[in-house]
Amino acid sequence: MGQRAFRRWYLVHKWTSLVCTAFLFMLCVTGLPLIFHAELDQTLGHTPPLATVAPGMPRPTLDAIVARVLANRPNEEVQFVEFDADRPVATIITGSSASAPESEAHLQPVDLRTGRFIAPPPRRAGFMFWMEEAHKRMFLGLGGTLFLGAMGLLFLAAIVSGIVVYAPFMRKLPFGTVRRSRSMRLRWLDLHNLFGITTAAWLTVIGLTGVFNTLDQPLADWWRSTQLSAMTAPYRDAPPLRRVGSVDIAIEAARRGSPGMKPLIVAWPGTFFSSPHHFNVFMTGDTPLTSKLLRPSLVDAATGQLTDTRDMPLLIRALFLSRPLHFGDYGGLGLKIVWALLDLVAIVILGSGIYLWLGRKPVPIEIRQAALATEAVSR
Amino acid sequence: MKAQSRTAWIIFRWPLLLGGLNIAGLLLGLVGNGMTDVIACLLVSSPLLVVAGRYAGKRGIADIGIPLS
Repeated sequence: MGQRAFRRWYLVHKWTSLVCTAFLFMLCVTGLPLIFHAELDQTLGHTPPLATVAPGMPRPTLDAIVARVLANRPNEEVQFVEFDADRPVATIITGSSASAPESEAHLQPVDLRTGRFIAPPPRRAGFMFWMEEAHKRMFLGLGGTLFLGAMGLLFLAAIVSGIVVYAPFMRKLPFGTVRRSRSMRLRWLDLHNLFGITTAAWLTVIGLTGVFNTLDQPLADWWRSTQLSAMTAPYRDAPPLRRVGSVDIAIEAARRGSPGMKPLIVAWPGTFFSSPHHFNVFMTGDTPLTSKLLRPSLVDAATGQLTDTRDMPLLIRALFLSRPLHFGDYGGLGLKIVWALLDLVAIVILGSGIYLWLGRKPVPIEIRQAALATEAVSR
Repeated sequence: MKAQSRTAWIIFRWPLLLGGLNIAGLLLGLVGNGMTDVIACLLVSSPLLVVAGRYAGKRGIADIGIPLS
C-alpha cells in the first residue's frame, strides 16, 4: 500500500472511530447487563418462582384467563398474549384500545396451570429498563435508534479501516507482538492492534447485527404493508367484526396449520400485527434455530378458521436471527460469559484508541509509520 | 533481530484463522444444542484465549513453540 493510500485509510480509521467512540462506549457498558437479562431479571425478582401444582389438576382455558384479566380492567381491551418460552406462564397485555401505544399498556403475567396472577415486572422503571432504553433508543424513540444505527455504520467503517491500517504496522512484527520494553504508548498501540485484530470478526458481527436491529421498526412497518397486507386482502371489504371469538379455538387452528410448532404470541384483532378481523397467532419451532423464528397464522376471529399462514420474508427472518447474534443469549451461560469478556475487550480497544489519539505527537503519520518500522527492526 | 517485510498472507493468516473459528462458533451456537453449545463457546472464545495467552506471557506466542510467523 502506498503512503497516500495508507494516509487515507488512517484518516478514515481515526475520524470514524473518534465520532462513534463515545456512543460505542455507552453501548458496550449498557449492553453488558443486557447479556445477562434473564439472570438479572431472576435476581431482581422480576420472574418470581412458580407455585408447585398437584399433578392432574385441570388447567383453566386461555379464554377464562383473559376474561378474568379483563374483569380486573373493565375499560381495557386485550392487545397481545405472550407465552413464556421456558415456563408455563403467559402475559396478557391490555390497553385502552387494541391500537393503544405500547407505553400505555398493562401487563398481567398468569400461571397457565392454575390461572393464578403473578406479580407483573416493573413497567418502564428499574435498572434493566434504563439499560435497555439507553442501549436501544438513548431515550429518544425511533430517532435515537436510527442514530445509533448510523453510529454502528461508522463503527463498521472503523473496523474495516482498522484492519487495513493494521497491515503496515505489522509488516515487520510477528503476530501478537506487544513491545513491553518500549514506551507506554507503543505498548498500548500493540495492545490496541492485538485486541482489535483478534476480535475483528466478533466486532463485525456485533456491529452488523446491531445496525440491522436498529431497523426493526421500519422492517415491521414494511412487513405489515407487504406480507400481512397480502394475507388479509380477502377481508379488505368485510363488515366490521361484531364479537371476538375464542382465542383457544384460534390457537388450535394455528397449531393444526403449523404441525410441530407452538404459539409464542397471539395478536388480537385490531392490533398493529393483526387485522381488524383476525387473531394473528405467531408460531415458533422447537429446534434451536426455528425457536428464534416466527410464523404468522391468521385465524378468522369470528369463525375460528385458519385463513392463511406463511413463513416470514427472508429479511424479517434475518432480523430475528440477528437479535441473539447481537446479545449472545442463545448458547447458555458459558457463551454469555464469553460475550461479556469480549465486550470488555471492546471497551479496552475503545479506551486504548482514545489514549493513543490523546497522546499523539505532532508529526505526520508517514514519519510515525517509518519510526515504528525502525523500532521493530531495532527491538 | 533482523525483521523482514511480510506479505499480507503472513500478516493476516492468524487473524483470518481466528476470525473463521469465531464465526464458526457463532453460527454453531445458533443451530446447535447441548454439546455443540460447548464447542461453540470454545470457538467464540478463541480470540480471548489468544489475547490472554499473549498478554499474560512474558514472551510472544511465537516463542512458546507456535509458528505464528
